[in-house]
Amino acid sequence: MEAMLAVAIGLLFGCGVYLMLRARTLPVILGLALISYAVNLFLFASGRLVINAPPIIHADIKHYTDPIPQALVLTAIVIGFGMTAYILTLALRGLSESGDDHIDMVEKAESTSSTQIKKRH
Amino acid sequence: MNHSPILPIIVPFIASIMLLMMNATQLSWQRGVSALSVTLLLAVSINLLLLADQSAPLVYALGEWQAPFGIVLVADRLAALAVLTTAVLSASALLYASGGFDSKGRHFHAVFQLQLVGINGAFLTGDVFNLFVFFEIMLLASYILLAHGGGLIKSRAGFAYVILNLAGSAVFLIALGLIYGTLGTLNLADIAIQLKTVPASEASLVRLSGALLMTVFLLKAAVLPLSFWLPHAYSAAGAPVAALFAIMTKVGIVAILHVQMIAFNAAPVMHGLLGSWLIVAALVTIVFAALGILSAKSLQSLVAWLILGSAGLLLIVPSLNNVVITAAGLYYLVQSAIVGAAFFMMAGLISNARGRVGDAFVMTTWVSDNKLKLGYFILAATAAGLPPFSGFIGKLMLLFAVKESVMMPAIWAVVLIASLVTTIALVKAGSRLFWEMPIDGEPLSQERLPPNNKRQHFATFGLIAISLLLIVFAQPLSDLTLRAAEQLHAPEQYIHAVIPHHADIQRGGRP
Repeated sequence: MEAMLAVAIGLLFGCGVYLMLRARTLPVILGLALISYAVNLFLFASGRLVINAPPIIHADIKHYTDPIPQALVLTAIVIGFGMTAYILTLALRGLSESGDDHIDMVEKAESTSSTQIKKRH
Repeated sequence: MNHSPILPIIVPFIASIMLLMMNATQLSWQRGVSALSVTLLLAVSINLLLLADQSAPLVYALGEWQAPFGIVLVADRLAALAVLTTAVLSASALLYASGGFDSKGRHFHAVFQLQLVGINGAFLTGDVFNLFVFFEIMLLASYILLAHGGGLIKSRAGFAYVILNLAGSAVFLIALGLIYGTLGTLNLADIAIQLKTVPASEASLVRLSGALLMTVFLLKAAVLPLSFWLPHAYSAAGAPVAALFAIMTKVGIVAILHVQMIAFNAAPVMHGLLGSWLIVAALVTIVFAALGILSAKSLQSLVAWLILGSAGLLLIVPSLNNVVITAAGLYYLVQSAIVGAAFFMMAGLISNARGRVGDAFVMTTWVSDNKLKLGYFILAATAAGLPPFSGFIGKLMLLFAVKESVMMPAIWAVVLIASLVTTIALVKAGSRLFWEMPIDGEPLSQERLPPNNKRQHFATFGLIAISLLLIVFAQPLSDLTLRAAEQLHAPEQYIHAVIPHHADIQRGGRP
């Protein structure tokens, strides 16, 4: 179980880092999403892995799992979701402004002149 | 329980929600609510600083859940001072933005207030996961403010800035997971207690978590290998937004100071985590920033490099770790934040006054407004650290404070040469902006310029006046920073205020 989780986290991280080093915006965003999945799994594991146990501490319950990492993961998921949505819109805006999805968002000569022509009309 | 510590967070938060609902109303109403919120924020921050100026920090347990189980806000002198600086900066940035910048896009005021929630929360919180949440609020608001006004340059700078900070957040979460997994707590005071009894089998993991945490803070504070984002992002932002950003690198430094002084200093397992290499990184950052100042092509990017240089200077504080140096560093922190913000606004004013070419260092018409020249002169002299301005006092205090250190020759040489380079660059920039004319004497452009904007002028010169007040009141302020530094270097008070009876707390075992 531990080994499986560790391999999954490592794999997600590896793929995420690879994608983040690409030069186009969408792969970079996907890479970030993969990294945030890996981080969430990692946070989850920080409370130790316990199977079939409630996240409640009570006198009757001897076998329980740590609830705090679950709360932390929930917060991290919400924040990560908002960030991914924002950066997607930012990337789309860059695409519409530069006419290219390259990470540097360099304004192309042709696209500039075409937008200028459009503005003039 | 005294509710003052939560007020600097809750006031802008309520204003932000109101402003989101008021999106359909006229801009003047939104400006009114925003201004009211910032005025209230100023009042509650002054109140908080007066209350927090005592030996034990104010502790506020959210929802009455006591530490270490609940989240606490801790207002020590450092946090209260930083909150007051933020309030002053935000008041003038808001006044400047009300001169027309806020009409360039929607939701400016709501996001502006949200940014204040994040910054103040990050200063005040006493829980590292809560610190993460406030960092994210601050960053998300800053992403939106950076893109405010639109344009390809902002999109490009914004994209890189967001990606880098999201990667930083991932590292932050890993550090928090490691801390919780090994120490079983996320409360800063409790971390300090738990760090004293780390079993040898977990020592390396704990040390790793501390190193990762510091890496994230150093990314926010922009120390050299992690600082390439700052000049691009800060020079692309609009003038009032950049002015507010001047405090954001300071958030990273305050976080380093809090974690370092309260939790890591006394812990044998974290011994020497920052000591030897951070000072080198800080000095290299100062040199790098000085080179950047020389190479800047517009005034706003020059100021962005100045901000980087001041961040490098401030990082000397956690690396040398001594009361007098911390006190000097805190004075410099307040001073450089205010002067940096005023300089960003001044760049905006000069850009307005020069029309189409903006603040780029190219030849154009004369700038006829003598007030701008005077303001530029004061700010340039302050930023370069010339007497009698407040930058001189800040740097002098810092240089005197490091006298005992073995690194003294290196620090003095780097800081003084960097100041000389900065002076030369600022003189060159000023003469190009104000004096240089085309050779034939004919002005290049004859465009009509917009009339002087009273609010923008008032905001900028108000902040310059405050920077001058820092000279007059240097003694009381440096006394206050000395008391703040003494409080930071005596973490027992902080820990005792947050967790009075830590021996009595029942801790369950691992499941």
